[in-house]
Amino acid sequence: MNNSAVHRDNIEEAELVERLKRGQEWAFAILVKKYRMQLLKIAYGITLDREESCEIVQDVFVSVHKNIKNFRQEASLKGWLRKITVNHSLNWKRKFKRRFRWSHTPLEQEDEKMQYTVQKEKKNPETAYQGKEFEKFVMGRIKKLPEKVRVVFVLNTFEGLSYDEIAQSLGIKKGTVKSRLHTARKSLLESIRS
Amino acid sequence: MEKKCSQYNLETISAFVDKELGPKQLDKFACHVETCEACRLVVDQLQGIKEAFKSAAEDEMKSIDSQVFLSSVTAKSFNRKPAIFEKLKEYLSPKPILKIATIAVILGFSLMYFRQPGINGIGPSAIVNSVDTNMSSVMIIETIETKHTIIWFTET
Repeated sequence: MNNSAVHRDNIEEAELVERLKRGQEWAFAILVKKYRMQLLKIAYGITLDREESCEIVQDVFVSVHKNIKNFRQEASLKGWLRKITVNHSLNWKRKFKRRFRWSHTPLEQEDEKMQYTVQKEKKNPETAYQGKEFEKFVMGRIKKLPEKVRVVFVLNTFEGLSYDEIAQSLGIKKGTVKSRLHTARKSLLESIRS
Repeated sequence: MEKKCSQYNLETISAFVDKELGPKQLDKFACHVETCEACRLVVDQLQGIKEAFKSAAEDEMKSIDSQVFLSSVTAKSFNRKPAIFEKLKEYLSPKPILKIATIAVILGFSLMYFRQPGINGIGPSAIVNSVDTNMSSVMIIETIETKHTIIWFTET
């Protein structure tokens, strides 16, 4: 990698925004490279659909490209992107509900009773398998959480945001964040204990 | 049957996992969790759920090709057609020299078409048969579309 490429990759946020406002394509490529995975995970956490998450995040970047001129650097770029992604994902869910395409949970998964085991030790094939099974089980339960609860849980888990930051990001009260997280955890804990 | 802690509830344990406890509460709970098996189990379970969710999402999203994603989103944002259309467009692009060559070819074909004999039924016809007698003559002429028979008489 040459020096200019290295410089481009380590570009400061303010400079990146400035370049984006000028419509420079390489700046846009850096933006995508930097935030793609993070936004994909948020979208996936909310929609639980791989293809739709991909489309949503593409739309987010297109929308950022169109509206970057209106972005004031009072908020962080990361926070702005996160907010757009959450909104797009929630809107997608609404459209999704209208289309009556609710995701189907196989019956086998319903009956599955998983015993929780903490996978702290180095994974051998057996523990790796158990880990994957546990992931599947958790995802099945997360699917059942109400959308509002799941959004809070996603921001807490993937983004590591504080209760205040989640509240600010979603425009809700800190107490609401706490209670939604509590609901999510209580429900998940009950399912792994049953 | 799982043990339950009588001192701390799920809300406090959640706050501990999320690093939301104040300094005093944090010290107190950190000491407690060392000795309370029930609380330690809940902490482990909550962290396990977090890790499982993160890992599942990461595995799912890793399978999305970053290059394809980038080119697709760049094309959408900069109003560009996908690469294959670009190549096709480039190939068919009307460069001046190509324009002139195209016009010349069209003109050439048109001239050849109109200069061909017999086209449109206006060219010379073939005499298929003719009969001459003292009284009259008969001639059959064939064009592309029809056959004509011409008969004429001698008046003498």
